Amino acid sequence: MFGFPYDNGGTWDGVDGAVFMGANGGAGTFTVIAIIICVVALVIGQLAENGKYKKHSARV
Amino acid sequence: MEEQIAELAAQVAALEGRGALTNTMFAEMFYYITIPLMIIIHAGFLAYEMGASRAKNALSSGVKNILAFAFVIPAFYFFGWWIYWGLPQGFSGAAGPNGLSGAEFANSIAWGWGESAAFMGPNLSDQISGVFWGAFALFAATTASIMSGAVIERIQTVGFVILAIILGGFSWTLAAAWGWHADGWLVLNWGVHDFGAAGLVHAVAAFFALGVLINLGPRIGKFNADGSSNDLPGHNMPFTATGLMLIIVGFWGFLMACVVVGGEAWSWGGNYATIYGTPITLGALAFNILMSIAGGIIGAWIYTKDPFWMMSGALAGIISAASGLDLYFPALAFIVAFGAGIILKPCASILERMGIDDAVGAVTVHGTIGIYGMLMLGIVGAGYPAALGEGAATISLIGQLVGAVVFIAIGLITGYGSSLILRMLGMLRVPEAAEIAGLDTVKVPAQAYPEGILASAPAAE
Repeated sequence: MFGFPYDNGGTWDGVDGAVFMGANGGAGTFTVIAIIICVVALVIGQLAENGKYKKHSARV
Repeated sequence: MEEQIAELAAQVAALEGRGALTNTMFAEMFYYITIPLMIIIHAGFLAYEMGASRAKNALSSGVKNILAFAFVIPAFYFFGWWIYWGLPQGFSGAAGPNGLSGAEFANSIAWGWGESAAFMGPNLSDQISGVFWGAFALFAATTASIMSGAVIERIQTVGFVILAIILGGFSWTLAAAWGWHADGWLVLNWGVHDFGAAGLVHAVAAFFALGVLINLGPRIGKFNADGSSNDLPGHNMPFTATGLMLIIVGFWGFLMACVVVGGEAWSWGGNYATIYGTPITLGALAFNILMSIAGGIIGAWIYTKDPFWMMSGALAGIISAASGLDLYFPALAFIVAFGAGIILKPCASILERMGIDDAVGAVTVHGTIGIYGMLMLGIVGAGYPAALGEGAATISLIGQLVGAVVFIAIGLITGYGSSLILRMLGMLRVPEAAEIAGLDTVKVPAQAYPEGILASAPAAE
């Protein structure tokens, strides 16, 4: 998942193509984690916002 | 037949000449465009600092920021450029293995006098030195602006300008020579990789600011006798948030200028490369900058819900991924930046509890997150060749840690030392009475809001 995705003696010589971490497998895992973060952030945000509304209603 | 071949050869030669000229013009234009883009960073810092100041100090904060730009640029011309090219192998001024460094090399291209002056002024046979120097000069000015926000509302103007010159002309330049140059000893020996300057610009400037803050002390009223702190909110949060957005726009130019254009005699090859000579595409920047901005904002939103920290989170997101923008997978850049957004505010609170009054959170956003970004790359990017060529050192956590410690030391030592001298000379802190009255009314011959902040006039019918 991590590390240099090419087995050519640890050099950039001759490297062509995807060079990112996870290029030889695992990139999709990062994508899934990022999606989960976004969804969880929305859930937490919604709960927090509702909490603020309830607190405000209780005061009014 | 021979005539036709000769004519064809001449046409090919002409085409090659035109192609080469086009490439040269493209390279020149590439860096030229980064300069105004990076000036947007300064527009952002100007708005950000003035908004984060109380109304009584709004203009004096602006004056300080403007002067930092004005003095750092010539300082970088006078000696900063020489340091970058002269000292990658250390203070000995020895030449590096790539033949692009050392005192002798720097003497030949980077002084504004003698024979090297040919490279430091308009020259029709040199279309790169000016724009390349210009981009670096804007990096230098950015370091001063980073420090500028932390020290608002109580620092003397000239004392601050001297600090800006030391930071922009020397401190960050030394860090860049060591860790952002193909001949840099940190790159060659430790595999330090900091593509977008998270450590050598952001962290160096932030730890320089921390050194200054230790000597400068907090603003009057910031801390109570029992050590608890008070909030001293700026007078214009929308202005501050807009300034932060401008900084983020400008950073596209900053990061673009970290790319070396291909196809020229001074290039690493025929295509884009990092300053280390390793391959990169502008597509990598588009993917990873955007995703890291998003991750930083979301992380800060979850923790704070505060637009100031959300926009700071955007900046922190970019900084956290900056070291490896050339290597990250976009979703991984998002995750790293999300982490930066989450830890941002708690780290700033810890600093405040230590009695440091960093008015805009610069030490945290640029320093803590810059180091976080360098170390994250050391973890997830371990094994990548840090530079071009066989036998290049690879990225590692230890290497990134060594680089981070060196950058922290450069910033902290030079910032603390120079501000200590200024304090002893009585050039660091404004008098107490002036601070209480407000610096605008003491020394700025203009008013920020001569009519106050009024309700707008009625609309026309």
